[in-house]
Amino acid sequence: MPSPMPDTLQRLAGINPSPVSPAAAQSPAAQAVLERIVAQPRTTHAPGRLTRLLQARRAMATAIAAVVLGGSGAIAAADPFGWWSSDRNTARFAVAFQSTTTTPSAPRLICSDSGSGLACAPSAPTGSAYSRMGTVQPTPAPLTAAVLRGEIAQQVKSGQLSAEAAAAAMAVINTTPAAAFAQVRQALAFGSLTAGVIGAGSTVIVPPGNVPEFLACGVDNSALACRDLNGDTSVPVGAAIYRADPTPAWRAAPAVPSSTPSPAGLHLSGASSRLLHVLLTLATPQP
Amino acid sequence: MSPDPDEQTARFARVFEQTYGPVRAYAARRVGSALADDVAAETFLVAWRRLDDIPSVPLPWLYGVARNVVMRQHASLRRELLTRAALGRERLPQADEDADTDPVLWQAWEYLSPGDREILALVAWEELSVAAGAQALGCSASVFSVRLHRARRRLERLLRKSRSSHLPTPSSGRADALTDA
Repeated sequence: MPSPMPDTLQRLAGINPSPVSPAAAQSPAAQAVLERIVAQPRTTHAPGRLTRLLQARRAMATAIAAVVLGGSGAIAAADPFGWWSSDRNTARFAVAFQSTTTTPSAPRLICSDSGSGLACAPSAPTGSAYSRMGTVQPTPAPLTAAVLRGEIAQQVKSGQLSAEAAAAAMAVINTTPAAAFAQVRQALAFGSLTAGVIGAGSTVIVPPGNVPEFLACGVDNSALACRDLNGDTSVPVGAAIYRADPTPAWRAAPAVPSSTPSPAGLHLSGASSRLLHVLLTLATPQP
Repeated sequence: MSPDPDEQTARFARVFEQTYGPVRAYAARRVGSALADDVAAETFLVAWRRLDDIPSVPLPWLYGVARNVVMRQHASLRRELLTRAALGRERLPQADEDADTDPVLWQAWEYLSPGDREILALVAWEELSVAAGAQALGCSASVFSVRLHRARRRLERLLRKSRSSHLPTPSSGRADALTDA
C-alpha cells in the first residue's frame, strides 16, 4: 500500500466493504474447493467439470433467485433493476399474483412460430426444444420481518445458510423500516431471468433470430399456451418457465447498453436494496 | 525431469492458503458475497492450471485472474439478479441506513466510472502498490499511476460537489459494476 496514502484514498480505505477474513482459506467451503481443484488434471483445453458446475450453478442460481419458488415460497420474484430490455440474454417480466393458470406437466416442449403465436407441444417434428426450469408460485405469506426470520431459522437448521450469513441477514431485517418492506413487496412483482449460457471463447450465446430464450406456459381450458416471457407484464401464478435448449445455431449475444433502467416509478431506497440483498441471499443455494 | 505432482500440489496449497482470503474479498467487493465463492473458486482453478505462471508474489497476478473471471461473469450475467442487486455492487448490508459509514463518499462512488472504481479499489481496498496494481490490471506502472491520479481527482471533484450541493441520485446506467469498464 502506498505510504502515506492521500487523504481521499485513506477515506476510501476506511469504508472497505469487504475486509479480508484471516481464516477464509481454512473454512470448510474453501477447503472443499481446494480439494476439488487439486483433484483435477492440470489441463487447459476444455472447461473442467468444476468450471461447468460453477457456470451451471450460477445459471441455476439466477433462475432460482428470480423465479423461486421452492422452499417456503416467501420469495416470489426479484430484480426490480431491469425492465423492458434489449438484452437478448435476459427476459424481463412481471408476475400478476391475482391471476392463475394450470401448470403444464411436460418437462420438455417443442415450439415453433405458427404465424399467430407460439405453437408448443411435448413432441413435434420440427421446432425449438425447451426444458422446464421452474414454476411461478404465489406468495403464501406477506413479506414481513417475521416471515423472513422464520425463513432464516429454517435455512440455518437445514444447513442451507451459515450462522455468519444468518447473523448478517438478521442485522438487516431487524433494522429495516416498514416503508422498505412495502417497497420491496412492490418490487417483487418484477422479475428477470438470465441464463448465461457460455459458448466457445467464453462468450454468452443466445438463440437465433426471434426465437425466445424463455417461455411462460400454462394450461387453460385444456389447451397449452406459451408466450415469450420477456416483456410479459402479467405472468400468472402457476405458469411454468421453460428455457430454450442450446443448439449449434446459437450465436454470441449482441452488446447491450451499460444502463439498466428500473421499472417505471420504482427507485429502491438504500434500506430496500439491503433487504432485497437479504432476500436474494436466502433464495440462492449456498455451497 | 517431470515435476513432482505432490510437490506441485503442495506448492499450490501454500499459495491457496495465503491468498484465498484476499481473493475472495476482492470478489466480494465486485460481485457481492453470494457469488464471491464461485469467483474465487474459478480463479484458483485457473491458477491451478497455470501453476507454472504464478509469480513469487502471487496476489496481484491472482487479482488479475479474478478480474477476468468477474468480467466474464458480468458479460454473461450482466443483468443477473445478484450482481445488479448487490447494493451498489460493493456495499454490504448495514445495520442502519442513518449509520452508513461515509454516505457522502458512497454517493460520490456511485458516480465514478467502473474503471475509476477498479483503480481506486485496488489501492485503497486491495492495498496494492502502483507496481502491483499495474500487474493486476496488466498495464505499465506509469499508466497505472496516471489512471490512479485521474481517478482520485475525479473522486475529489465529486466530493467537493457533494459538499456544495446535493448530488442527484445517479441513473442506473452510471452505477455499474467495478469491472464493466
